[in-house]
Amino acid sequence: MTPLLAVFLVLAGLATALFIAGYVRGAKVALASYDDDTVEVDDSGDIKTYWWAIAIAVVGAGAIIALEGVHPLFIYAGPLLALVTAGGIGLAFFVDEYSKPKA
Amino acid sequence: MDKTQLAASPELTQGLGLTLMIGCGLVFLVMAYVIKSKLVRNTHDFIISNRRIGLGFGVGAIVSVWTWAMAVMMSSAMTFQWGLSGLFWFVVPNGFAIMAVIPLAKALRRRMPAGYTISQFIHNRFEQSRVASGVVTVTMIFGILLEILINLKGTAVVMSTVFTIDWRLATLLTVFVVLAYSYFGGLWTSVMTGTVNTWMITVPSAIVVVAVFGLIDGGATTVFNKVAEDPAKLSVMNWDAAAGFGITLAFGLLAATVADQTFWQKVWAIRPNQVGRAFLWSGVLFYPIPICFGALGLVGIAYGLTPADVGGDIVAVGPYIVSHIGLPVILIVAYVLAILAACYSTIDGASSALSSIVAVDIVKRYAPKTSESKLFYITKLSMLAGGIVAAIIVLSGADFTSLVLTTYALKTSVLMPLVLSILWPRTNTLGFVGGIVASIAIGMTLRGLYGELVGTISIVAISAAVVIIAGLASSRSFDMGELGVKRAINLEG
Repeated sequence: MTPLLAVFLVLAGLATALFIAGYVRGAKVALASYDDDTVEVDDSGDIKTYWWAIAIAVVGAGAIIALEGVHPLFIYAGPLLALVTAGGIGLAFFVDEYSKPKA
Repeated sequence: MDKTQLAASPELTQGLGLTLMIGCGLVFLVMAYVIKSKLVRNTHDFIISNRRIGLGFGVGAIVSVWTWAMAVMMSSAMTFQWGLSGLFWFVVPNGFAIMAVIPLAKALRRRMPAGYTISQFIHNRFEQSRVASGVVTVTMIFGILLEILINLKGTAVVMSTVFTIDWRLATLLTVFVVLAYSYFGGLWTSVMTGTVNTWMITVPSAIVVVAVFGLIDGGATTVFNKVAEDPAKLSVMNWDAAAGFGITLAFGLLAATVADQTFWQKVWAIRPNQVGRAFLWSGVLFYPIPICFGALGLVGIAYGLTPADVGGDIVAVGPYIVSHIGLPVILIVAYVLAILAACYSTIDGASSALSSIVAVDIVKRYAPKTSESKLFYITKLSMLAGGIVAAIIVLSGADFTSLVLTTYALKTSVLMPLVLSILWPRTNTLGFVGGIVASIAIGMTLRGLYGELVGTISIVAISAAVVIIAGLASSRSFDMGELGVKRAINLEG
């Protein structure tokens, strides 16, 4: 096993832990609120501005691919960010402040 | 690096492949059963999850349905064919297509908080026009069928490349497995298993790709230097990739999200205060997946592989490298599970979207007195029917080019009229239907004469122009407050 693979395995473990923690929380929230038949209409907690965020994401993705052609180290950016995706989804369950489990 | 060093791992038996497919399905079946017994009370829960999906499941589900099995392999294939330009043009519009839904989703969710389907919106928006809503319903059904077909094909490619399983058996087994667990819990099952699938796609793929480079002397540096022998392969500025597929793909991807019930179902199922955020996070978090898999395309170039080496179809380049470079079996299994996860989640997401169309746009529209119990079964059976039809088409070996072309024409032509009907109150029925019909008639003819790029741009431009001209010619302006479905439609007969 290469040292780099060992580092990735550790990071994968951390991303998985965050993912599982988030998933369990999300499942609890779903169980606590699935039978609430109120039609929610309040979207005031949603994002209001997003075009700049979209622009940064699009340019960022393009830049990472371009950098893979500049230095071989950037080839590992894809796998690293894939772990960020797994962790990010776990994080999303905690960011969702409007769906905390009922006490 | 020499491709003669690549050899199939002897431990990749058909039995192992079949065990993976069935085992994965059994795990999801148990999940689906638990979800059904805890979260699903009626058709409303089955098709829209009682509008209680939060940010985490929303993001997990959107990323998983957008990550097609074929897309996972195409990112490697496009990199293999065009170099980094291929990866660039494949990846960048892909994530953008998800985020482009945000303004439309926010606008529609606010104006029609109790909606179910995009066809239902069109029905209400255009004075109950059955023509307008019918065109959209047909477009959605064709799109869903195609999603299922392509993912079945993708799974067949992987299982036959890695495990030499007969592609027909792989197709049948996939349909059986996915429909078995989707049948139980509907959208809740789709989002909860889909979120697990997103983990299965991301974490194993990251480890597998790093392990592949770890098996090459000098790792990424060696691959980089080998690919650099043709400098164009390391540039993202190769116009050939853009003209060859990139620009057409960009429009196609926009149509694939904006004109797809799979995503609109999520728009109405996610809590209103998380809709925009869910699509933004999904677009951002989707990007790393194809970038990660794309690295396998660089390995293919570095080894000097040719399409013939991987069985003639370049989408197999990723599975071929993973199964021939000498990885431990457990990592090959991890890669296969990632592809299966992408396939299963897209098919169950598409089946779930189909169930919402059948319930709302077909049964409740044409037989509004259908009882809840009957509707529930019809809704579930529609998922089975969709999967069976798709499997028959794949197994018949029929060339589904005509289905691809029809779906492409419908989705691309619906894109701008749909966007304008949400954002521009002066859009009217005549413009909406006329735009779709005129753009297909003229645009598809131009496509046949001048190729895909001209055809796509023509369809988009003509459909938009007709809607705008018809809107300007009429003095009427639709009051979006009249969408008339602020109260949920009665799904209980």
